[in-house]
Amino acid sequence: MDVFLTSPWIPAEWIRAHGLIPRGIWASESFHSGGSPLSAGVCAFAEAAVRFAETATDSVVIFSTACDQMRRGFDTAQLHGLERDFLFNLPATETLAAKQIYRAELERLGRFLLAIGGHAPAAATLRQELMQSNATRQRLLESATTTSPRGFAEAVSRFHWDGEYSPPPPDAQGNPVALALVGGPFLPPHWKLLDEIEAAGGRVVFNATKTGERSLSPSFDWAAGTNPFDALVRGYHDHMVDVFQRPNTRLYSWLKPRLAAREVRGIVLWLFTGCDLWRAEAHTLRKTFGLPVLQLEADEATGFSARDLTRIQAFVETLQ
Amino acid sequence: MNVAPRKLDLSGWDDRYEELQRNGLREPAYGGPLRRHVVRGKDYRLEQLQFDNSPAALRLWNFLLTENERLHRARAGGEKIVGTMKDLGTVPVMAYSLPGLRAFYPDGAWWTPCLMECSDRLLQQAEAMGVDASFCPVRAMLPAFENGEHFPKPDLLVCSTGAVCDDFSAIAQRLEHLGHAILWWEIPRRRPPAAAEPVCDLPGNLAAPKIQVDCVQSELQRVGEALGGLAGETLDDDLLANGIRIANQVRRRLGALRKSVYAAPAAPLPALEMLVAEMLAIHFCSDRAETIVVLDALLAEAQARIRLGRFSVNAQAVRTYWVNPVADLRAMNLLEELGGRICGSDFMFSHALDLIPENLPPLEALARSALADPMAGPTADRGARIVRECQASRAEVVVVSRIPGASHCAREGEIIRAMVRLRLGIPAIELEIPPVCDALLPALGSRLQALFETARARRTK
Amino acid sequence: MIYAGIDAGSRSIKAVLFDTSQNRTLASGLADQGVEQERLAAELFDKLLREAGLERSKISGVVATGYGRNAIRFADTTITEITCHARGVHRLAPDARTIIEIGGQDSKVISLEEGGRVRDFSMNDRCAAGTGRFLEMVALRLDMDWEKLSMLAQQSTKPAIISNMCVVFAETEIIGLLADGKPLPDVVAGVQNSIATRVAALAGRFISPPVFFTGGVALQSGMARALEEVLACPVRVAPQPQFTGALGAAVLAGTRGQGKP
Repeated sequence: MDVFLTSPWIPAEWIRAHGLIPRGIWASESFHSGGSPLSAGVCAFAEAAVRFAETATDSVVIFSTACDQMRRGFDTAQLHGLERDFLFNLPATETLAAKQIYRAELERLGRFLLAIGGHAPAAATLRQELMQSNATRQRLLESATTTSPRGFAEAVSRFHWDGEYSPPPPDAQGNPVALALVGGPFLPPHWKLLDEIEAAGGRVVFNATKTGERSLSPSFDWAAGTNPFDALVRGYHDHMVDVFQRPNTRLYSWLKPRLAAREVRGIVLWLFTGCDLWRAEAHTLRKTFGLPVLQLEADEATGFSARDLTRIQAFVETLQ
Repeated sequence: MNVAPRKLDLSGWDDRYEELQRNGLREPAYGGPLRRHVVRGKDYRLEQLQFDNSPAALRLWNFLLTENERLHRARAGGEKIVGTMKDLGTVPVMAYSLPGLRAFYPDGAWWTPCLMECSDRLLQQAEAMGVDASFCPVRAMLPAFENGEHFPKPDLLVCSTGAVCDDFSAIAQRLEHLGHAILWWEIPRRRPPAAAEPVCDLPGNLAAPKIQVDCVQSELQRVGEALGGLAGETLDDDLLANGIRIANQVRRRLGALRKSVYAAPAAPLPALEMLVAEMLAIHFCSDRAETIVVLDALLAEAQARIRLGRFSVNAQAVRTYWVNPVADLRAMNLLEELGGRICGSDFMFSHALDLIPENLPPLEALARSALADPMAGPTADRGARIVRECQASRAEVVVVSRIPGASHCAREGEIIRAMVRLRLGIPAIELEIPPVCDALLPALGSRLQALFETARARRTK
Repeated sequence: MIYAGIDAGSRSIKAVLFDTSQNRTLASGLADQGVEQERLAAELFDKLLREAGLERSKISGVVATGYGRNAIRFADTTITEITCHARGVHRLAPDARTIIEIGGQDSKVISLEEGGRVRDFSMNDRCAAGTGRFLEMVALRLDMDWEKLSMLAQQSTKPAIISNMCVVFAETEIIGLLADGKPLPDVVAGVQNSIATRVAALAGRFISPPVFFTGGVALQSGMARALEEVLACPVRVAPQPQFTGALGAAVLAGTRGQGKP
């Protein structure tokens, strides 16, 4: 059975170890954030997850508590009788209590997976999953700076879809304006933004969106005698990097060396309309890194308006 | 109570105040005519409001409108100031359990633009700080921290995180980025316990897995240590138990007031004063002892009016259950002007109205109370309580007031309305009320009027 | 007995004379809205009386509705447009369970019980994106009247996507689409779809059929189809949709005149 995950911080490895198929919901062709009628203030990504859950009757959707929009989206799904879905409690802090919550949630998810037809994971299987995931994440991270932005986005998406590594072709960079793309989920229909940026003379050298390089940050260590479940908990809880964390200093610590190493000259802040968490960070990003920030929003439509394109072009022009 | 209930505008209150003084009105130190809050405090919105004419209401308003003065005085007197953010009604109980600490609710700045009719420029300043109207009016808090024109800078800032609204969380994070250090504590999203999982009962007929209660308790332990450090005294079980006991005195009074007013055949006190009174549950308006006195006076007034059959709003008014606080207080007047009355309310902190268990270890009791926060749980839990209270209060309509920009409002209204519709079959509407709703009054009025027309038509079934 | 209903909308004033003994409409008329709402309404009312050959004294009651209802001081009482549209549509289509009314200034979704009583309703908040105001803006921008706009929409083969929730930004978007060479009919159909999408969001997921579409915007061909697509159910345009509010007001005037609630 397919188990669709709404966040990269819900471990796909844990689901695979239960004999089920984890899928990053954002990588699905049936996941559409466009065209749905939205009430004011509703995040199109959360709404798309609700609609996906309504139609994907032969699979389950794991929502996360990372934001209010997703929590309430789960509430809406429940109202519509979608009781087969699961809400995963992602803690916002890095405290001991938070780690305990994360651990307990993985155990609870495990029980849920058994109830929907999964099997109890053997330690060796989980260890194998983690090792393979570690290797793939590492290879993807290594390719981040040598492939085209679109090629990298596709490869990461593929990883979240089936766990596979499909090597993105190497790509010559020329001398474009180096940009970072920072923000929330960046879905396949949005990838044309990468092309538009290139057409304008820029290049996303650092895709730090929730579905980009940042989603690869979990990492599993192997001290002698490590229990793979402990490694799984640590690997995710201690390494996830997101805007909802409080305080969100980990996000800034993670961004800083990468922005510097890739000589980024401007940040494109990518968010879904209705996402307060990212929207409020624009000023801090600007101030912390001393870089100009262009804020772009995705709402119901997947296309970019002439106004957006002008803004992208002007942004790159000012940095050239 | 020797005067019939009436609603007075500010000028009416000028005369009424003189009359009360002539008759020997005894007031606390923060007393005085309401007019002074316009003249000195620039609370221009008061000129557009209608107030209850009782001395108890006067005391309530004066108490509310002198909170910043009280905080500055406390600071000058050597007390430590604790800003308790997002959490509605938990950390203040802890802070007031320790001597020398005074807790307040910086989020309460969200009413400042309404009270001052935006002459404070807080919303504009927030916008300039990158927090625009797509966020809820709590954004007024940001510049209020920076410009120091309202409340004093707290000695300690505590904020709950996890299952809280996104806009608030984002604003608080921005505050921390501006250099105001925050002690964050985790409140997980409350979930129904699974079969065979150890369960804890929570106030408000709720339950949660024990593991979640344990988590909140350990987080509150951290908060308690920080508060103790600030006070120079350990927050032990005895101190906290005593703090809970006094907090429950406030909650009992509020419970009695709500019961008296909402269950009465007609409304003995207006909706606006009830909204303000209920808000005292969250943080005691920075004076726990005085909160009890203020509530006692209101309760006595309400009970006397009921005894004498003198009401502020007549019995024909449409019994309205109100959900969420309003950014513009004028909306509560409007409700009554158009023929409605409040018969129940959920201003988003129902857990702060329920008694904190006194038969449990105090920190665990507080953790259970915190986890019962409607914001932390599924909307369906909140909806179920609303449905229960609507049934009990024979509500004829439900108004879900939408807070502009608030992340929880984007979906909550639809779910609550669906539950009300399905289980009670009564009309429920959603209204967005911005901080100063003057320009929208005709539109808001039309909706309320239509709602009441619908309700009255249903009476003839 | 004859009763009058006056619907003082944001764009036009509508009036209906209704004879309760014959259970039929005697006259109806429409005039553009303006600053002097009461004078305009009175002129329209007098015009209808003349057309019907009636004296003002023959009118047993007048109910005003619409956003400008309180300005019509010669009315005996005012009732909101929610109640009036509900009554008007019920009078014309007793089986109606949902009414969608898109006016110049706001949109409403009204659910009815059996018997025509309002069960619940939703109205748009401040945004004009789901209202007739959006079409007005487009008509103004394209320098054409509503009828032409309506005809254009019918010629669309691939409606454009208007993504903006804000009418002001949507205007910029429309200019952009036209500058890109998008066919005019597709742009207009895109606007209609955008309005329908907003109204559907307002309706939530609780639409009970049969659904009737009323208000001036219902006269735009293509709008009902756009609503059908987003709501995934048939949408019927109410007879004389621009008059249902005024008709409901007149019917309610009669009901009240006869001592019924």
